[in-house]
Amino acid sequence: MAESRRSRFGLAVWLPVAWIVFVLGCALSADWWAMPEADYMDFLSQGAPPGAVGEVPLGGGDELAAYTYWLGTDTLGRDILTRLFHGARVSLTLGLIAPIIGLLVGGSLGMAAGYYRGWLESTAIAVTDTILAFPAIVLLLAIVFYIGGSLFNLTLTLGFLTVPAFYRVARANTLTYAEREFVTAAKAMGASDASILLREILPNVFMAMLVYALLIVALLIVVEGVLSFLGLSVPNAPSWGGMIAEGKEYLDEYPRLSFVPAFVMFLTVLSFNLLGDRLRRFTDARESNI
Amino acid sequence: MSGSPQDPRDGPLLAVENLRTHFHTERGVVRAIDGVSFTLDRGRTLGVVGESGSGKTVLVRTLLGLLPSTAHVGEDARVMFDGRALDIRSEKALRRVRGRHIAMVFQDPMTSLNPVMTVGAQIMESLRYHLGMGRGAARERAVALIESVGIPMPARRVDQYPHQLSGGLRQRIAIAIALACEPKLLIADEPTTALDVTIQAEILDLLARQQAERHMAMILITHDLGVVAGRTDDIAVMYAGKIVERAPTARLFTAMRMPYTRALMDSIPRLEAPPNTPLKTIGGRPPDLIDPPAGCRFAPRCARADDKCHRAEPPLAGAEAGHQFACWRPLDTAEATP
Repeated sequence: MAESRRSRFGLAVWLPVAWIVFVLGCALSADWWAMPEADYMDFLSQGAPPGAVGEVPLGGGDELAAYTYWLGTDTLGRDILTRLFHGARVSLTLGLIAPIIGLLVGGSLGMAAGYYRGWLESTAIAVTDTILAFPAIVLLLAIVFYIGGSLFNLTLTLGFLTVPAFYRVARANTLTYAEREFVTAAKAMGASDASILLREILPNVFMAMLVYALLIVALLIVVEGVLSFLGLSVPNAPSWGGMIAEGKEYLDEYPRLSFVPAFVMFLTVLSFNLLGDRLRRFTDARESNI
Repeated sequence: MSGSPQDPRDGPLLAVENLRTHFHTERGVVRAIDGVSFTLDRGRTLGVVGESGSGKTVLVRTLLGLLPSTAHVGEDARVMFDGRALDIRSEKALRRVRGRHIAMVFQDPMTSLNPVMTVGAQIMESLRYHLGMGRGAARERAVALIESVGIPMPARRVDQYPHQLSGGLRQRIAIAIALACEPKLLIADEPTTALDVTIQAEILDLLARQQAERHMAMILITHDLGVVAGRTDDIAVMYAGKIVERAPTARLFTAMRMPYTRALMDSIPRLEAPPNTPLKTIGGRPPDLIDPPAGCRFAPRCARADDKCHRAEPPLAGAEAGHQFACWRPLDTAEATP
């Protein structure tokens, strides 16, 4: 069993996983490397090409040390590699935490609605349809202008916006499983509603929700880039989207300012999409086994 | 096989009176169960026979409250279980008996087991829930149960998933789950219909053996008279939401009075019949349960029906003890012999 399962996980799974782990590692370890601060400007190396050597303070002190800009610097003399490392934090926080919020809230709401039906379902549908009908950009604008565009607020808002989608996936899957005979059988054995939801239905619908969550992760990383162009992304912190947006002014002179972060974002989004796709094929195959 | 003398409580294990279950649909009210009464003594087996749509499954699902929310159970139904009144309209009351005192085996073991839980976990679930067993004790008991339903290598099977087992083994697991808490009543809803013919007898024998060992009462639902023939004490024949004849098994097979029972019996293919004998079928279709015929519900399909049959509904009554039938023009004993 273990062998046949592994053989279905080819390179198309391990490469995305490796890349995601790598990016995650970069985001977590960004502070520990011998790198300048993400917003340190080396005025002597503005727009330096990859491989150029400059002098920057390392490790928080004032003393300058030689440092190789492996990916060059931007027009303000900031190290692109450092900013990519720190930008990964914003992208991954937004991309991973927001779907988890949506998964928890929308998922449990959807499961409850699909299982209990009745007024709970109609209320939940009314609320989620309202959220879906409300223009997301307007909500984000309002949040940024009235409450402030911190990473926390942005993550919370984007998480809130993914609730309806997760609600629908959870409800649709719960509806089909709630009708299954094994749920009736569990009920006939005296299982309570809570235990039916948690032990009978959740393990069956979780995979579908996880696959969907991976696609949402990929989507939200792109959304962060789009928001940067509107000036709605996290201010005062490097982010991939922000780097792409800043670089667009110098596309003819320094195309790498936009293309390097865009490529990193591309690989990350591709990885999450591939992973979600593979996982879905894997669960589909398992479903047909049953 | 009658109620054992050491049983502290007298009287039947289950007494159902005037059970009605209606479904509210867009076309109208479907009277799926329309006034069913029966009793079942401790340790005995009642076979419920009838064609598809006669209400067999709805009957037992009503007793356990497993119907969809469109179902409506009549208020004047009275159910006594184990000497106490059981309010089958109350989810709370039903939850106390489900699994613990009344357990059920379903038709299709391919769908009645949770695909993502090991079979052991599914057996342990009710042990821990109803009997408050610890993980270790419940596991030991699960292994013993798997062994008792005739599955080899129980210690290995306990950690397997349903898709790793064949249909017959799955149904044995479903039986093990049902037996876990030593229920007083086991309901088997067409437990062999979805199985290979070669396995059907094994499963039925297993049920009979477990029932005898545990002194458990059983309701065996089937559309196959051959299944109930040697394995039940009594048989109730259902037609269009009503019990139309009820008798001890041997008597029903030799001295049936209701023409419908006779028609069911005649539709069983016979080995001794010469080749190419056309199968006897029952002409017509079961009545529409939204607007059933005024008189006897079988009258439109019955060769013996006369005016009275079409006008008035016959009550379920009988001259002899234990044998009741609902018919104005019953077969006499000579005709009944097949």
